Amino acid sequence: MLETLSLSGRAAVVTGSGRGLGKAMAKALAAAGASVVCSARTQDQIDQTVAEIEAAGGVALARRCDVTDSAQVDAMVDACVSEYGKIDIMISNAGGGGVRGNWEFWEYPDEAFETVLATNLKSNFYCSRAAAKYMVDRGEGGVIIHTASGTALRGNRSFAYPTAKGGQISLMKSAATMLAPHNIRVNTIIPGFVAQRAAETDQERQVRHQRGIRIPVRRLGEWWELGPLAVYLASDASSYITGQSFIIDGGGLAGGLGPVEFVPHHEGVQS
Amino acid sequence: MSVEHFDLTGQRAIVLRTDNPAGAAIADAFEEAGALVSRIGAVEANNVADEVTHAAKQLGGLNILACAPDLFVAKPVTDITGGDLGPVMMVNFASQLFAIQAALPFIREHERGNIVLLTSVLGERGLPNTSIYSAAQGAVVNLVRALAQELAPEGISINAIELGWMDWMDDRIDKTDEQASRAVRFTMLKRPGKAEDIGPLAVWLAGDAVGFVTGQIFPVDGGLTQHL
Repeated sequence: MLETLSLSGRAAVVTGSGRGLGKAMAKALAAAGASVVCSARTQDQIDQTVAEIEAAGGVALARRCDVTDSAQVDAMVDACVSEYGKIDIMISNAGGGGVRGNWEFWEYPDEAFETVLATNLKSNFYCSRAAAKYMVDRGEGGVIIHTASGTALRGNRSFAYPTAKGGQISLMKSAATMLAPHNIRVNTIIPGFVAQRAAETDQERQVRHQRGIRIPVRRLGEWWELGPLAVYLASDASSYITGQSFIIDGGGLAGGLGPVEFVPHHEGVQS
Repeated sequence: MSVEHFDLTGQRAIVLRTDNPAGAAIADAFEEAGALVSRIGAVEANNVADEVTHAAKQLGGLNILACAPDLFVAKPVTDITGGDLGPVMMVNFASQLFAIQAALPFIREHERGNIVLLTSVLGERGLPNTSIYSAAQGAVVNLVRALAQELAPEGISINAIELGWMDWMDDRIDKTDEQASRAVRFTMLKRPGKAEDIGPLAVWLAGDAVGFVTGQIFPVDGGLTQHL
């Protein structure tokens, strides 16, 4: 049954794979046998991801892409097809807060809203569309995976970011519905608070410890923990799963009704 | 085959209700991933704790508990008696709770542990006549959420696999019933699930990559719950 986890012979694109969770997912896919196009805006970082994959015996290439530009996204998918002959897996992971500000709702500026939606939602559409077109033309199905955020499921003051991430989840469900007849599965990974890389200083470790205390498992997630989930969702092991969101958040979203230290005690019903 | 983080080599696991196809598939997948598995088949809910304790002692320790009971009952709400409600709650909900209670002393001897429960799409959605079954499955869903909060500080993750329409569910998707076959077409993938659709997910949920995944419900439902 577990041989279905192999990605041997598959071609994948992972956006935002120059660092953090995207890098962890790209390396995990490559380790499971996929050939991976690693994409981000910063050439040095994707070169480094590719070097690490190749050092581990994997196959990868770096391709710069600004995912807010649909022409660049189409060209990135073209590059995957011309290098590896096809695209089986699209992990649309690139995104981010981008805009810093603590505006009130009624003061939230157009430009900030549009920038965050372009980075996180339009990019997600462009990547999914470009991959789906090739997958449908080829007629052998495929897998599309999005990275959203736990903020998508709960209101918060970041506003545009969780709005875009919530939009991603709706986009995923409709895409899954529209692409299911073509044997293309679409799912979303929803990370909670996950550290993007190993801590390098004691101060960094201390900050992470303090943030982790508020999470039920009492720690932040780690970048590598996204890898096995991405491999599972990209592989035939999940072939009956589409339209779903997989939360990896240390138990935070299952609770949240009080501080993690809140432990009620009651002897039973009293009149 | 061994895949990093889908490897249960050296882990000791109990799978409750391997007389059900889901339980058998989970036990098979655990064994394939290298775990030492004790299978508990049909058992009265009141005997589950003794069986789990006995199995854990036989295994010489316990890292993983998976439960897969499933007793379906569907009738108009006014027809439901205590004789229906008791078994539905005991098998679907209480037997999983009793298994956890018996397993925890053994799991707690290790730094971390994994618990995988079984529930149904009826635990979050309703259908006519499924009142007590849906309620029992809903009980499992929130058992997972509550115990995730309680057990997280000890490094024990607890999650559930939520089944949609599976190909062995003749008691609820009767092939001679036109409406039941329409229900299967409500899945995005237009087919019922198979036992093999469960195994790899159970292995991931039982492995060392889910230390940050707890309190979650994972549908294996062909997209049934996520579209209009």
